[in-house]
Amino acid sequence: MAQIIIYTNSNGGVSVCQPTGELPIEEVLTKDCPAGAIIVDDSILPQGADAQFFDAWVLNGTTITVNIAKAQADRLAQFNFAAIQVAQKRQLNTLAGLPNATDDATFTAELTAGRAAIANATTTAQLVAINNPA
Amino acid sequence: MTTTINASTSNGLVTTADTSGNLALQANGTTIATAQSTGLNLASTGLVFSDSSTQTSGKGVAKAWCNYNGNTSTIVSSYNISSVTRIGTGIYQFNFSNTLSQTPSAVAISGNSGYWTIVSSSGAFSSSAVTFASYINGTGYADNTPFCMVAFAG
Repeated sequence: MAQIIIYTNSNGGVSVCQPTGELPIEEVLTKDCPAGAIIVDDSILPQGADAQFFDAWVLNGTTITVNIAKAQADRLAQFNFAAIQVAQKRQLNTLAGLPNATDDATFTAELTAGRAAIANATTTAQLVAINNPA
Repeated sequence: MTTTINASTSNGLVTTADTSGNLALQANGTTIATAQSTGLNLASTGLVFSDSSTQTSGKGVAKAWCNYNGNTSTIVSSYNISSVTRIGTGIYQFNFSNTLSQTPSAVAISGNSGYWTIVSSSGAFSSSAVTFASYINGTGYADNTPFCMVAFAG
């Protein structure tokens, strides 16, 4: 396991500083990181689905947890972007006289179901399992 | 011991010889370079270019570089980089081991196809670090596969 430096950044999230080894980590701590930063083993970093929601990480002492509300917001933003892309493609298909994979009602229902699943998710694994509109 | 060739300011050309197999080139007694079986070793002054800049101050010499994988948060290789800080998804700060004499004049980034690498909205360049964001058009910040940063100053 490697040692890293973590701290709460100005956005309220967690910054992770990885030394290259050119300087001792204690020197990196004082030179590259703000006061309050701590040296930890990288094994404390969230794994699996939690690792995919870096911007929702919250540092409590030496433990990193995931703010599920923030993770939901980030996942919803991803979902909505995908929805816009698909909607644009559907509109272009319509203008070009080409068929869409599903009718408008099915597409709308898919969006509603996806957003509801995001809102109801209680774990990052559930958020990761939700498919983007296609 | 070393065989020496010295350009003395008082005695002109001064040479000494031994059987070490090493040859030192001296300027008034100060060794500038030594030829050994392992190669040519430059003294701390290093190279001096035609514009009087040195190996460390030369405009054409990279002051720092890093090959970094944003997906796995892995530093593949680097020079004059003490650390890489992941500030947010797709946002990375490269911290210099030795502070540059000035803010980098030019920084080049190469990354994965489909990603835009842009200067972060804050921080950007300083003599101690450069900050970049990796961005997918329309998607937002995204962690990039191996990409390289090179900083020049002078």
